[in-house]
Amino acid sequence: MAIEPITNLKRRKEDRTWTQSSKPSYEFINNLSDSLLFEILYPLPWLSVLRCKSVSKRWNSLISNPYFVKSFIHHRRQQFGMHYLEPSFTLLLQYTYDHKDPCVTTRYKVVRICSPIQRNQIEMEIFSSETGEWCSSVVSSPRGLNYFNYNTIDVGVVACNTMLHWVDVDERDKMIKGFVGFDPFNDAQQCCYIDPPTDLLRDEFISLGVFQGSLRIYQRPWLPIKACNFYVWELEDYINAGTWCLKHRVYFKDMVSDYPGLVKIAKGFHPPVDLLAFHPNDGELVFLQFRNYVVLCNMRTGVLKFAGQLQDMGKILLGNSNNFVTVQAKSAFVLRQPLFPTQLFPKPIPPPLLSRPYRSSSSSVGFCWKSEYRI
Amino acid sequence: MSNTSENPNPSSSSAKITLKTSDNELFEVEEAVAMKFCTVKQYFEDEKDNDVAARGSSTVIPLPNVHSAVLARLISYCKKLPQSNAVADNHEEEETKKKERKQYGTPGDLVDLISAANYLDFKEGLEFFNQALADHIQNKSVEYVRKFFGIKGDFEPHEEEKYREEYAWAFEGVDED
Repeated sequence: MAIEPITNLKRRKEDRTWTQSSKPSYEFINNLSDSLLFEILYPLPWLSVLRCKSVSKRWNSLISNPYFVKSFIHHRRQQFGMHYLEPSFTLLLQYTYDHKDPCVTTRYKVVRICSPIQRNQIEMEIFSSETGEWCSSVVSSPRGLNYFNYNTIDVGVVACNTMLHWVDVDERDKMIKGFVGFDPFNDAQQCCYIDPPTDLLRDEFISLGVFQGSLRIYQRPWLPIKACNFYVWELEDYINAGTWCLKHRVYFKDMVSDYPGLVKIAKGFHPPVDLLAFHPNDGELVFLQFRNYVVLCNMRTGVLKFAGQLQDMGKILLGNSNNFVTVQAKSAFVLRQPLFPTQLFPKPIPPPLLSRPYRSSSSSVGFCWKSEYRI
Repeated sequence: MSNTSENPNPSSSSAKITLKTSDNELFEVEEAVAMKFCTVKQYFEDEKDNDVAARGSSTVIPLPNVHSAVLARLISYCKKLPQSNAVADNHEEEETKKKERKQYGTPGDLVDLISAANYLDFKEGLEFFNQALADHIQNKSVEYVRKFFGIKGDFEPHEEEKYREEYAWAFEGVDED
């Protein structure tokens, strides 16, 4: 049944007839506001959106707009649901080296961890270099697990004692509930659950790190009133369920250095300091990122040493191209340490980039890539 | 949301609201339909607060940015709304939905519908028509998208070349125009 205005019978005018619109469509599309054009682009697959960058200058600048990128991802999540779109949050690569040539990888596993859909089990996909095949397996958990959320992805996966570890965060109140451990080599049926330290600030961000086969937590509280120090816990007696031990509490105000710039950052309001890695041989030393400086910090004495500088605030040049990829140099590994396992991209990244980053492992410090959508 | 209890005429199943388009056409629509347009709803509720709407259907709500041809389409879309949105579970279902979306005309028509849905703050409609437009340009070449919207490429040839090189992999596997 056609819907007609009730006034139709009374009037006869040069009414524009439907679908025979005399105006060409560009008049409409060019008259649309940016926000409405965004709306039109949201439902497109992102490869299509990328191609649309070369439609015109206007489209290019709109699609490159960080606001668009954020909204595009947000729209996707709303439409398809977070766990539908991102069933896995990270890929891990496990190496073992050939004795003759340490640069040749001989045996590895790639583990894809899917966000738990059922409380007590997680689906995994594991690729083994020995069989050359992907295998799906369902791993049971002794505790109910939460869907992955932003915090889980931010902390990422850390390997320690051939186990992979990640954080379990409550879906609703976003509090850290504990840590999940999984061994892809020996016990691929079950994962273990580790309670957090009792004195951990469970509503604050953390990073995971490793020191000589022990799992460590780094926490630098975000709330300004608590942000005057950072904490480091270590998991001891791992085999018998483990006990967390507070190893260090370091005040920013006590930090000293021959480099006045570093002290200035440390003593400034809300110092921008993140964990990179724990020193492989000395439990008191930690590599931190102060803005774009790599700093070696002695956690007992508070002495800071300048260890390096990250190019362009953590942007790293890939291959020979001029493409900068925004990388959060969040966790780094020291190459002297046993190199397995290493993190790969937690999110889909444009195919040509996938093959390149590993070249960086020839440098002294390799970075873990927390990729962002960059369109 | 129905205000049938306030309706003085019990024989009418639901209250009607009159909408007036940019070309001065009048549309009498059921309240349930009209309330899907948040702009109308807001207007209606404001009127109610002012106690003007006590006489129900006598209120005419002006929509100066919406043409009658577009409003007719939007109303007819509203009437068969329920089975529309939600993400399709399988390929077959998706195809049916695509066909359904195809009925809504040329790109120009769709852009009109999108503008109107946006003006009326009609969220489901906006999503639906955006998707309908996206169907047309999904997996198509840049040339096709330009032609489709009548957009002129305003890049210098070397700039365009640069983008294509940078995202060369995005240009693989494009559908035929």
